[in-house]
Amino acid sequence: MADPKDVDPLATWRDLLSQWEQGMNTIANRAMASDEYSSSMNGAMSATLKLQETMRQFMAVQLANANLPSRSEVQAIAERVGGLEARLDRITTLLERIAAAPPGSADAPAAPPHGTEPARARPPRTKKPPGTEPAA
Amino acid sequence: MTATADRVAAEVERTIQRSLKGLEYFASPAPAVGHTPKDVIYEQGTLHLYHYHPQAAEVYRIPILIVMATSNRGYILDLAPGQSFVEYLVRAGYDVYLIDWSAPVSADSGLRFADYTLRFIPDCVQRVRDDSGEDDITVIGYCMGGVLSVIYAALHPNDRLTNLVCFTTPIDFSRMELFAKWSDRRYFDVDRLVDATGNVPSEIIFSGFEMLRPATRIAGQFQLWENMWDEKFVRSYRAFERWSSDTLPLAGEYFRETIKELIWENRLHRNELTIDGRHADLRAITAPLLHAMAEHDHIVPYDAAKPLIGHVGSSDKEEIVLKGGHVSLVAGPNAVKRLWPRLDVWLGARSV
Repeated sequence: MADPKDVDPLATWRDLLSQWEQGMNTIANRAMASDEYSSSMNGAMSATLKLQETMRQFMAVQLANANLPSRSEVQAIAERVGGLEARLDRITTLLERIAAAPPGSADAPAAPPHGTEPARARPPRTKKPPGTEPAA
Repeated sequence: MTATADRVAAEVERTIQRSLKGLEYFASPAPAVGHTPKDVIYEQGTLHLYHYHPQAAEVYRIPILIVMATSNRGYILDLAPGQSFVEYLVRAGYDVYLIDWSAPVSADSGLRFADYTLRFIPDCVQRVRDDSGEDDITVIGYCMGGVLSVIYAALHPNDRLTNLVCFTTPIDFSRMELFAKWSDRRYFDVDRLVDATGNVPSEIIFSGFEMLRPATRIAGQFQLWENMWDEKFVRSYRAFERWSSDTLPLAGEYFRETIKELIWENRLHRNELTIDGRHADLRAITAPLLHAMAEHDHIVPYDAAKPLIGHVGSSDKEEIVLKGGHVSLVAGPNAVKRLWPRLDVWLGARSV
């Protein structure tokens, strides 16, 4: 009986890849667990944030002088438009479902819970775990 | 000799398939996720409460509310037919609700632990009660969703929480060693970060997770190439890939509290966490508790998660440690065989 690895040309490659991955992760984790790494990573992030903040303030002044909205103002408008679109989508879905439901059906506009979703036929809450049902 | 020749022939065929399917891979859109039919029964800002359509002739009496981790999308629990945790649950006869989170907008930057544990979760618990007509409820929390569920349970000891299930939920944050080191208070100015960004960008959260296993993404690319002939593998790989890069930003104040209260002061493990002046006393949790952890979890190592069982006041409590990692514990082919059936046995007996 031949060893499966003898007939699988990629088996060795797979083993090597797995060993490389484990080895690299171990080495990187060890390096990243040092004070030096933490200090330099956070130092770089602080410097970037400081630069971004300076640029943001500078741009805000320039945009205000040019009578143009800043990025945060455009973002705020976009968030409000996004919220309106989501609400419209929900209203549309609800109306479509109500319109498609035949009169008197469970989906007809009777009393949707919380005013958002129409009532749906629900199964009884009588299930028992397997093996505990009474014998027929 | 024949076996070797057959193997070489198969490898040649696979190489051809890799080339053909590799082209398809780059030309096709990302796979659809979240197939299990559901209704959105409540939304408020970053919070979305889903109710999955029951798919069994009868369901267990006690409904389930799943609290997703705040840093990731909930569709990891509904990845694809046959690999969906919620699909498994609804087919097994559970009535399933899920709290999913979307990216917080600038107006959400002030959200704190208090908002999640004194407002969002209790509000959703009440909505599940109203919707299902049952007062009893099971809460299942995944990762930081588990942390929020534990804090909620500790703050609401008389809230008829019938069962609490946590998946890989960190309690001792000092044992999440790399995260603790990177956010070392001597070097990490969390106030500057939050004050400058409002909400912490998803890129920072994503990088934090990626840096824990820097070589894994590269190795994953090679594995993808090797298995490019296998449609099932590629579909699964792409769904996971889509999810892992779909990291959410975190609300600024919530992130600040996570760093200061949980990582720097380790208050949850010390049982000293207070939320709006109320002590989140873990001993006040008396509901039956199941805590599932993964043997090879690189995000929440076993040592960080294991103290939960010892802290709570429940007399009916159990921890299980399964093979797998942080994500494969709850999703994918291994979860189908390992966690889900174990959970079904534990929860079924406590859901009537």
